[in-house]
Amino acid sequence: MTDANAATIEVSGLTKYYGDVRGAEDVTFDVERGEIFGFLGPNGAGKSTLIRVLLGLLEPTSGEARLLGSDVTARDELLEAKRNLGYLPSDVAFYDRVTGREILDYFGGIRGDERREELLERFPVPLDRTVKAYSSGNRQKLAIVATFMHDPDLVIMDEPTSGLDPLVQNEFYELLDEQRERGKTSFFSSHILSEVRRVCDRVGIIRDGRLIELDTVEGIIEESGTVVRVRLAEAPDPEALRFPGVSSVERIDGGSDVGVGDLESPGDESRGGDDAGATYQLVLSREFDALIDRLSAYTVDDLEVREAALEDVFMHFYDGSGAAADTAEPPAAGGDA
Amino acid sequence: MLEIARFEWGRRARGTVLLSVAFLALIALTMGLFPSIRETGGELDAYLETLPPEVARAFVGDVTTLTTIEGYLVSQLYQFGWVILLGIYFAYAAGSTIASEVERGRADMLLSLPITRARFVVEKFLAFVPVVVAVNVVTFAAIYAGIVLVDESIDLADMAAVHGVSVLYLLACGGIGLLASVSFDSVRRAQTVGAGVVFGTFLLDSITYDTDYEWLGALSASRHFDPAAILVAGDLEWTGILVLAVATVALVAASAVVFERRDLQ
Repeated sequence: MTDANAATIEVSGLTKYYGDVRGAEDVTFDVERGEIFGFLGPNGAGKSTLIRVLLGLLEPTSGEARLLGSDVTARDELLEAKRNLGYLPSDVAFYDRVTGREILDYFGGIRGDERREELLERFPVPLDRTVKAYSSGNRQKLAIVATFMHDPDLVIMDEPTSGLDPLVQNEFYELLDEQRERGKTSFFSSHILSEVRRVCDRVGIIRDGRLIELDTVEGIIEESGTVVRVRLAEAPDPEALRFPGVSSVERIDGGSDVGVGDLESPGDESRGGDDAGATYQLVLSREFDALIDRLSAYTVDDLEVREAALEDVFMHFYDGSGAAADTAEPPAAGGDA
Repeated sequence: MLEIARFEWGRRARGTVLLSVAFLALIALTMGLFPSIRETGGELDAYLETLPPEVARAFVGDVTTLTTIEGYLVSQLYQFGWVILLGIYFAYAAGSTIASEVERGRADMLLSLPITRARFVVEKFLAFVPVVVAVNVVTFAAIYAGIVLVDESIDLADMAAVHGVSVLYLLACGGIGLLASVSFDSVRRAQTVGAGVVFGTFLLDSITYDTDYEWLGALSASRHFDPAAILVAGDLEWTGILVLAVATVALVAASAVVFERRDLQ
């Protein structure tokens, strides 16, 4: 805050253990001023641990975390930083018998509410009803107003769009875009890839408490190359399809179940083990000549070439449980290449 | 300042009214019975003498007769209604203050406000002060009205002293509940421990009274609030008042320190 060039969030070597259980290990990253930073990972990966350390709710086992230049473990420094902070949790809990207006008065009385009316126009809620009568969407909208109405420099969000309908979601994304234009910083955790792609400048991916990737959204997608899906009349060993430039080859038919989580499952019935052919998925850098060379040895029944999507990258990072077919499933595969 | 206390007090207003109404009913019933007790009281006093001294002291108070208005009030209202019922109630209510915020997941968002955890704890506790005072003001007026209606008179200063010391006593009980509330994430456990400690130490005080272990009872808040001594004997024990005040402050301070140092998962 004092230093305008200082990163808004600085985390270095941050480790948090709950007894013997690892919450986060040696996490290091910075979030710059005016950035929208997405923090990606499935439930239980350590996103919440990290956010709770940033908010000063958990004491780190080792390492350091700074918010707006303030050490989060120093009581007085954290208090200062919190004046310019908003926190939006995923499943907001308010007091049942209190009206929305009373909640906003309460929060506003402590840290200000100069944008209250404007935000209420964009995220309208029944102000004079008790929160008990609110739908989960209305509760989340009330929380959005409460989080942003003091015009904080930094907002930390933990899966903020859960419970919002698509229209409100879009309004919320626009709010984040505006925040960026105004030089405000947004940090949010998510497991919804489309959301991350829509709003984030940079992404950190966390797995088992460790930060395993940190890059711009474009950078991550670019780095992860091209996805090729090919159905052959023959069924060679997948390794026979490997050539320099291929980072992974998987046979994706053969009985393993397909479709994971919130990713769309293409339901491609054309493949299957009832004939001698087989379907493969390759991830490669743009080595198309080599690909054609290699495939020329077989009979190609079907071929699809496309840019990797964030889903592929994400699944790639979470690969390793033996569900190889799942990780490679493209979100919108067409049978006619 | 005091935004949290004011907000919390607003949330407690409804409960305060309900609690006051319940006590008004208890007072009306108790005062309504007094004229007949006054007539036939001799037999009740004989019954009182047959009670084991520990039991009498615990549930009736340190009185020898029910036929005077002072002895009647102590035995039928203050000892049971204030020392036991309200004491346990405020420990129980304070038990939910912090634990419920943590258990229901509200603490995260509230503590992202520019407040320290200590301030959060202290203001949550301060919200009990108007509740305790309001209940005592309402009941004081109602009891006095009852006394006038049954053609009795009482030393108003002594009666005010009973209610005054009871405010401190009830806040100390609340302090015990508060300490339980910052120590456990589960509301139910915090409330059970808070109320249990108040009632347990109250029994300890009663059992050890007039024994070699009487000092043990000094740990109990009830040892330092004796309505019989104030109303019947007219003794206002300043040490007791001091102990209650210091204990309350110490309990709230300890709660703030415990809460500051805890990991909130």
